[in-house]
Amino acid sequence: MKLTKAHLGAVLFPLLAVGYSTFSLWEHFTKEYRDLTVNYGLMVNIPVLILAAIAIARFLFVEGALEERSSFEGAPTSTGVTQLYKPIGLIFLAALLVVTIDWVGYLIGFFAFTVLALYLMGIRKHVLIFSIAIVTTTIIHFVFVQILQLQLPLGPFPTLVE
Amino acid sequence: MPEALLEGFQLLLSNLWLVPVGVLAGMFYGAMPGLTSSGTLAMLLPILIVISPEKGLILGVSMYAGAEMGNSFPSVMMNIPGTPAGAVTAFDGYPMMQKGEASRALGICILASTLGAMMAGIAALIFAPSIAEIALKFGPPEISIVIIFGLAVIAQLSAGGFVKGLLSGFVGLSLATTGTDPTFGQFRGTFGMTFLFDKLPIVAVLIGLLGLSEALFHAQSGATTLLRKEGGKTQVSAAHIWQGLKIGFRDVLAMPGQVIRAGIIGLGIGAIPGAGGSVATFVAYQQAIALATPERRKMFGKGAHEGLIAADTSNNAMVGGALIPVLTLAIPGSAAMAVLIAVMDYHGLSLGPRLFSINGDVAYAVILSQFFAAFFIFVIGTALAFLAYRVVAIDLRLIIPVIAVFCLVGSFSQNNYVFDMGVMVLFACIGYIMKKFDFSVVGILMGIILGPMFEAEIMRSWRMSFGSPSIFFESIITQVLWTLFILTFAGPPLYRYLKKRFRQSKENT
Repeated sequence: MKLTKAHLGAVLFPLLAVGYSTFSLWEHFTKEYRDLTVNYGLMVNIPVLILAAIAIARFLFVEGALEERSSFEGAPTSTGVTQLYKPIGLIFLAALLVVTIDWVGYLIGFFAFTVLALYLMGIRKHVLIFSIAIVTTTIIHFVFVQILQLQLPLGPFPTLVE
Repeated sequence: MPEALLEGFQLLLSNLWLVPVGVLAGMFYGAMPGLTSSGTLAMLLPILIVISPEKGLILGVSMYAGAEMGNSFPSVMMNIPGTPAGAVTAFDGYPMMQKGEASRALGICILASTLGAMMAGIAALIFAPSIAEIALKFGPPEISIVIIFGLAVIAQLSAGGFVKGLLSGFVGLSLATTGTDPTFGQFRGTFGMTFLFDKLPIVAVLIGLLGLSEALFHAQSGATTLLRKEGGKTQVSAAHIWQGLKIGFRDVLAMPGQVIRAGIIGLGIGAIPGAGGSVATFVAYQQAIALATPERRKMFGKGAHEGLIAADTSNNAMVGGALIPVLTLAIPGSAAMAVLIAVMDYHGLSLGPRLFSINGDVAYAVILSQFFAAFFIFVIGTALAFLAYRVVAIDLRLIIPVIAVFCLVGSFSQNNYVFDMGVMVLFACIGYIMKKFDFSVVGILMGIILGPMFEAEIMRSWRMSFGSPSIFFESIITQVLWTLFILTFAGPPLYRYLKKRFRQSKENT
């Protein structure tokens, strides 16, 4: 049997499940939880380990088990071109925003995120990019912050929001 | 009663304008990912208490009803449910949208919600005291069994295979143990982070698993629109949308049994204090799967009309159901209803069974307002459907970054933690991997949403019975529930088998 990239991708979720369940079981046994809590922990984590082992074994040894879902099932407009850099880039930008939003504030944060994400999506018209970013940030400001009183991080502009 | 009913009707007529205002406002915040009805009602409490009690209650109930419907728009059009109950709408609504049946899906949601609200109104008007009496007999063992009904969907809805579905469900249950143990108050799976001491932020998790992960898929596919192109261009004309809405309305009217069943489930579970809307929609969805034919069952999660009808009817019937213990016994079944009790208490209304004898006009005005709320859900919902439809016709490359921003804000809004945004991004990655390799996202969501409630109720039951499992079989209600549970699994195949045998014997003779 030859291991491929697809095999590694397919076993990723079961492996994550095994990792979390092992951690959870370790915690249940080492932290002196009450018996009822330990029982419930066993009740939900042992099946995870068993089922993950079966899923991994099926992926590795059963032919045809490795069927990747069509990335746009049912939708008619797919170009068929896979552009993996886009989801990875979006995740990177979102993670970057989460890490920096406390310092830069939501106004700069969401504006910059929208501009960069639009650029990543392949939009090259600068007027359009900046217009969408300004409109999105303005909607967030008025709807979520002013009307619905959401306490988004203000960053360097606390007075502007108040 | 007739006098109070008439007085209530007059009281409602003089405050009728509040119903469309409440429904519209409710739809607005219901459509905002992460904003819950309870949170918004609590936020509006200062307004609800300064106006007269009947105004405050009518406005509150109308907003609650509108929010449950409004939540369907982002669920169907963008796969971004704002609440756990909305996630069930997204299970079949979003695949319908992907198949080019967006307006049909919205039509189903609108009429199903309207009928759900109507049914709840009728039941509240006629059976309120008796429903409240039965609902109060539901203790921890009974609620545990009701939740098992919901969890059974994991086994029934496993498009990628039984093992994958079950694995996802148990991973969800395992993740749901994160936070404070509901019985003994011990911290589990928190990795020492105070943000996780409560539990996993549900809204962030479901926005990540359903919303952002789907946006990532679209980004990868290079698609340019969410809507199906017909004749080389995307159909967004009013006539096209109206046609789709009408087909959706007809779909609902063609399945009266489905509507009634989901309505009764929503109403019944809504009336049980502590059970809540998510349990009602999951159980109604499970029942829809259980009673579907094997051919139709394969369609669940891929755009089954029955699933969408079950989700939306039960969701709105639940609002009326939750109102019953509030008005008859002053017991709030949910946080949103607790806000309404606070309004009643502030104005010095008689709480509990005496409400109908002392302030009967107010009680009946609130119950009757549900009928008008149902009407306005239909009218306003239909009008907003045209707008929602056009939003997703925009170039996907432009809309994905905006969806991502709304996912981030929506995940923040539940607790006001930036940490929740990070959780959302993490679960978007997990959801992306799961969807890519056909693991059941529905399964993991069910586990995470219903897990904490399931654990709490099962623990309470065990403690009540000193660890004996017999408590789950002792009362008449538990026995009835187990019988129903077995019947929903064994009944349909048994019925089909008997029908086949009967047909064969008839042919032989």
